[in-house]
Amino acid sequence: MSSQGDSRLFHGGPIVTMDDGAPAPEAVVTKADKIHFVGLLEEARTLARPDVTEVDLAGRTLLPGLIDAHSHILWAAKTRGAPVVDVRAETVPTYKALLAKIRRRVAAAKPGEHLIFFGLDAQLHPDMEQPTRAQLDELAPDNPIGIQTSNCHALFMNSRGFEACGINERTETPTGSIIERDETGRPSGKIAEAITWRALEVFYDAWGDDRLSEEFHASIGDFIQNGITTVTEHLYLPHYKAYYLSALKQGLPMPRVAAYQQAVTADMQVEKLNIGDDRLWMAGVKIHADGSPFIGNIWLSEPYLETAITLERMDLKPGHTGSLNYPQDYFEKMARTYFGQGWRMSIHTQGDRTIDMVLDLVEDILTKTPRADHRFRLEHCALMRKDQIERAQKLGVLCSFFINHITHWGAPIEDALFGPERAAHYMPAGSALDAGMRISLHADTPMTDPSCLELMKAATTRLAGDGRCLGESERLDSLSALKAVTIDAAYQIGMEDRLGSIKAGKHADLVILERNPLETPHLELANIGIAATYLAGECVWTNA
Amino acid sequence: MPEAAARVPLITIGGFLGAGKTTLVNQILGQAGGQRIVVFVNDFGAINIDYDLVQTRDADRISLKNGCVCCSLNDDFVESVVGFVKQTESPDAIVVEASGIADPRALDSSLAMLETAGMVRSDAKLYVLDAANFQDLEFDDAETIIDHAAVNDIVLMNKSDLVQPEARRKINDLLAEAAPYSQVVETVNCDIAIDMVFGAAPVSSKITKSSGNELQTPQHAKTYQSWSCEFDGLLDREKFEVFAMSLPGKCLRAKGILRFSDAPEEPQLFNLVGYRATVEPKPRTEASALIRFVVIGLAETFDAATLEASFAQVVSEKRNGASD
Repeated sequence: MSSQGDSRLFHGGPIVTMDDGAPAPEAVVTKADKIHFVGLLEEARTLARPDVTEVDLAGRTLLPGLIDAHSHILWAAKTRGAPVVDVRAETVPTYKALLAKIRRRVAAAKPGEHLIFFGLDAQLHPDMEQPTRAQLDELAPDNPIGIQTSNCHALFMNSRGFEACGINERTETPTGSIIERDETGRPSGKIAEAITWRALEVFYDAWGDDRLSEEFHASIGDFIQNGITTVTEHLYLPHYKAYYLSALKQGLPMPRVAAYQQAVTADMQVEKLNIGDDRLWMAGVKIHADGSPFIGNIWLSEPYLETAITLERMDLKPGHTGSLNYPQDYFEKMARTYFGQGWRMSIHTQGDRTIDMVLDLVEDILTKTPRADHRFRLEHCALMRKDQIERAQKLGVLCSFFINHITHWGAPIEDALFGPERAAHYMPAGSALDAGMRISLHADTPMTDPSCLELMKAATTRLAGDGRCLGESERLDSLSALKAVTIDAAYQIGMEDRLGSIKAGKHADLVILERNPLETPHLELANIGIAATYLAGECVWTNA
Repeated sequence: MPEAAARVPLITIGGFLGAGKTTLVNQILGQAGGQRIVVFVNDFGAINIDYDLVQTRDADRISLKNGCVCCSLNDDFVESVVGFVKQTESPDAIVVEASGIADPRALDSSLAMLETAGMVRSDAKLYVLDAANFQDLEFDDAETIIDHAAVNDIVLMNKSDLVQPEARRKINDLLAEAAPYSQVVETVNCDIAIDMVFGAAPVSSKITKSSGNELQTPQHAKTYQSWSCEFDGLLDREKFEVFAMSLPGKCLRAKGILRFSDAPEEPQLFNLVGYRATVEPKPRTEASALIRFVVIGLAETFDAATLEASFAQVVSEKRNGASD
């Protein structure tokens, strides 16, 4: 690590600026935490101070720091960090194996210890059944336990878990949430959507602050080691602030955080945060219009396929077309309120009917109260139709695509959930690009691991885990994919004038890659090594 | 890469430090039996090869007189593999010994890339588990090993001689639940039959009749059994698929050159290891039209007669030779 006042001169390898004005310069000079000069090496040497540190790229490629436009850096630490037990299908291949792991963990638990298992997956655990409260009571009579689905949107708990969270037969189901109940009104095991995340906070609190600080530290490392210098916190809650402040105070290399506060009601106070020199700021307000396609909580014009996965493991009725998370007028009131307060909106939308509803709303709002540069965002956009993309583009609405759905769940998306026609345009990044939209790509960590190079590979190949390609026509070229994790991602979070490209005056956030991603075959993009990460002019990670 | 070349089978070996990976690598190099094998190892210094076998030795590469090569596993892994595969005479197999404690999936993206590029075919994934040490582990360490084992095809429950039968049974039961797609083989000094690592080559033109053989290995002469056949004819594709689905649990490996009645001119290569099977077009490098098939399993669960009878049902046409 170096001190803030340092100056560096980078040269000796390709420099991909993502700035049309200076596409391939010879050298970059940083001064303290800003980019000072981009251009010819000779000129850079003349300008640089005598004590400048020269960084010889030795053939490696310099790029702007990478940006994941939709992630949850602190929430990832809460959700996936120890002592959460990972039961995702990658290493716990069946539901039976998952139950066995829970049994072993419960046997090793202290009485009353809170236990969470992350990664139950109706698409990838072939023998999955919906766990009931009674079954979980039998597995763990003395410990509060919860099993969270890999899509994060649902939680199964035992009686001790429900008690710990204070959810019982008298609990009213909050608007926008689901509590499954037996005929007497007693919660029967499964809760879904917003109440899930509130319930989990009880477990995280029980594990204490030290645990969270430690895991947040690890989460920061995961992003920085992948060259990611700007992230978002897409379900920001006011009490998160203390952890970011503490991380900054400790001098941890926390990527810049664009916070999107989660709205579940229309009467929330949204703080106009802006900490440090663009280290943490309130970028907007996030609302879930619908939920996860993997548990059936999205609103569709055409129903889900009727397969063993949808009918049995997901427990959907034939002809299921899902619904919105909130009653439409409740949702609209929230969206109008926060938009009216001047916030940029970021709306979780997966089903095409949900997207129709949101675009209708945006059109109405903009007709009545036109606003230039509103940068209204739609998140994930799994089943967005072509006509909706064109409409969104006309309205100035931007899409951020959760492209890793294809790599992780591509086969069940096509075979079990939506069929080949919808799968060919699932997460339609290519169509959005063709329509002229400035798109972004995201990993939605903790749902998938942070890596912008994996996002680029996913978007350029659209290869599922079993090797099939989902929708050749939706594939991106490398440059467009790189824009979607640099300058266009910066645009979506409202920081294109300070982040996302290598340009004098911008923040000195940089990454050195072992190979130039624009000259690397698409299949090899995820294998490119990260050599070093610079945040605000400081070298915060190297692989040396 | 010429279109006709077959993808080189790539075998991975995982396991914690001290489990016996290097022992296994040494065994493989010593018993290659004419196959040209390239081995990548993480701990290059620990490889202990009989001086007489060594032809040349560099800082990160040992070439053996039997044609095998042992390399250090480093950042150039992908490039090195490509280099070997593109040689005029590409190796018969590539073995990668993955790092002791690293995530067993750390190599996955490199392997997927090589596989998609048509260079290699992911073959057996082996995991060496130290049975003697396993029973004393804390929850977290034991679970890490279980998670790692579960993503492999064959788990060698090594040092099984140091564990009481009751404890062995417990580990077997645990793995049966936690790693349902892995086959478990109890070993001492990783004494797994070399054919189990590579799959017996179903290309010997000597066998013209089906045969049930006991595999001769130095220490475990009667642990494994095999059944094989060779004949001129055609198979029914659908029936074969059903047959192949029934193999896991009855054997550890199966391999074959197949011809199906719906496409008699397109020979296919079949490979099964544990619960994973692949069928891909066989490059036409030889004129032979014979079907060849070999199955290998553990002696205690192997039933050559039943396999033979089931396979006979798959045959739709036979011109000579016999599998009955």
